Amino acid sequence: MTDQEVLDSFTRILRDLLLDDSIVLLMETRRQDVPNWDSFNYINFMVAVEIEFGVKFKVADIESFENVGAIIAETQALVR
Amino acid sequence: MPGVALASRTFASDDQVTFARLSGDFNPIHLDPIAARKTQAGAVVVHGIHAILWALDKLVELGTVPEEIVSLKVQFRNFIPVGKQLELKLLSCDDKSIRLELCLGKLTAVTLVVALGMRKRTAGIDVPDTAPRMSVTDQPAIFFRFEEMARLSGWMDTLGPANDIQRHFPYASSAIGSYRVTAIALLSKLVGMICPGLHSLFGGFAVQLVDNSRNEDCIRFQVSATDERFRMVRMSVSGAGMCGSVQAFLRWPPIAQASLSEIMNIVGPTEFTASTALIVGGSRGLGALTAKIIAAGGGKVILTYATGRSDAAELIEEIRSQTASDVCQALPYNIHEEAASQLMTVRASVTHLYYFATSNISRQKESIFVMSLFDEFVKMYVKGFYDCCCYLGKHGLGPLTAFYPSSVFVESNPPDMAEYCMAKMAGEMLCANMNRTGGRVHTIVGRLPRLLTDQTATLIPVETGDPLKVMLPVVRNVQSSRSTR
Repeated sequence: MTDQEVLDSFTRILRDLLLDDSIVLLMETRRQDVPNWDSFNYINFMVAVEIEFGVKFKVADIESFENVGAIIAETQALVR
Repeated sequence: MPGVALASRTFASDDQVTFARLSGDFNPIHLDPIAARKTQAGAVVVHGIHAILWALDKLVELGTVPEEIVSLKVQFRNFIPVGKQLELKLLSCDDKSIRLELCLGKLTAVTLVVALGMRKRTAGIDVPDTAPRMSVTDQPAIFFRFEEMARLSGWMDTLGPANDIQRHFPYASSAIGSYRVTAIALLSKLVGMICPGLHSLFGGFAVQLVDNSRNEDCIRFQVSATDERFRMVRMSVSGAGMCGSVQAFLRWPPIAQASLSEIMNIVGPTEFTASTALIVGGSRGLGALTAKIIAAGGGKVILTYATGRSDAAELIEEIRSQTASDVCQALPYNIHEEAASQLMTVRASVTHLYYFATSNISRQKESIFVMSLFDEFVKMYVKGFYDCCCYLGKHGLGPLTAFYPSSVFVESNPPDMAEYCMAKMAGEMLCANMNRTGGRVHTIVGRLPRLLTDQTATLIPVETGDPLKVMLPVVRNVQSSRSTR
């Protein structure tokens, strides 16, 4: 799976979570760049990603991801 | 996201009591201001399910539901404080679904997706008949440890509250049946009173409305998954014409600071004798910890409280039980009123001031800068501190050392805490200017790291410092500064 395909999945997951079809995630998007992407929805997003990709993140990583690109990189690493 | 405003409502304290009785959810976060201020909400908040049932009722009343409702998907995103206007907004509507938001200004508090179509038949979940029955009047809320929740199951009777539910939500009852409305209402009790119970946060639920001849008069629930990382629990629910899942979190319980006994083991009994510390905001958190440290070192403590009278009384009891009876006293203090009238009785004796007055620092915000929030923080952290210092400086008998607790957040500047950081920075500048004038009051500013208190406990675990390890050297520094001047 390419980074772009993962990014597209992330965008779809977040749109479903936040009921906002206007969301477009980029590799450099940070949580604070997306309206309503608060800590609660961040948890829901991470759990949804884990279910979709069959991975499990470490809590320390979840806390420290700087942007969407970092989450994608870790997802790809766990998938491999 | 913009939407069409359909209705608005402001929930009042009476509504809280009414829905607690209807649903059986008497969790203190909805009813008890003192308990609620020790939670992440910081104040009493509306039952999320109450808001949802109001929205559903309104939706049907306004004729916005053209077909049979087959499912509901709800996410609770932000607390709904009592007394704040909540607006129901329609985001989209077609023949398959209706998407709605409940908003506090520009802030989304709840999202709701109502799916339309034909209902299905389903068997529901299989909860053992021996599982415990949870009656609607169960009180107080249960406190489970996280590890105890993994195998929880049980059932709740829906017959009792159904008539009252129909009266309060007549349109929703006509659309989906009062027993289903009752079942949804009881989800509030399930989360708030049973699982996770006392220290719960309702994350959301997704239920299908089904035609099910079995279990019409009760809801069965069973924990289906837990996630220790987020203290999250998922439950399957079925019965009373619905089946689906519920997501909730186990909040951290109120944070207990180190006991006086523990502190007495590491603080010398005469370290702080001949000093009297006024601790504004001393009934809990870092203020209470500071009070214990000074009392352990033989200093006198006058602590103030704004609303936490019982917390202050407990702390005094703890201190007096292990030290001399005149070591500690408490008085009410409101930073929004003049210091003069409130501190008249204690002004002469105070040698040190610790200013821990605070309100809830982690707020739900609708934009990057909220003027009213900044004003509130400036009153709290700048004006309140200055007023206190001025009065004690003018009317005290000797020099006064005042500790101003700033924060490392001033350096990291988290975007959701801009107003707090700006106010604390203003407080720091004020302290620098006060020291420059060389008056009777000498200030010491400490940028405290993130410490584990009721204010900083979060769903995603964040590394925090040990409050005692951080505050003990701070207090020693502040207490000793007087003797060197």
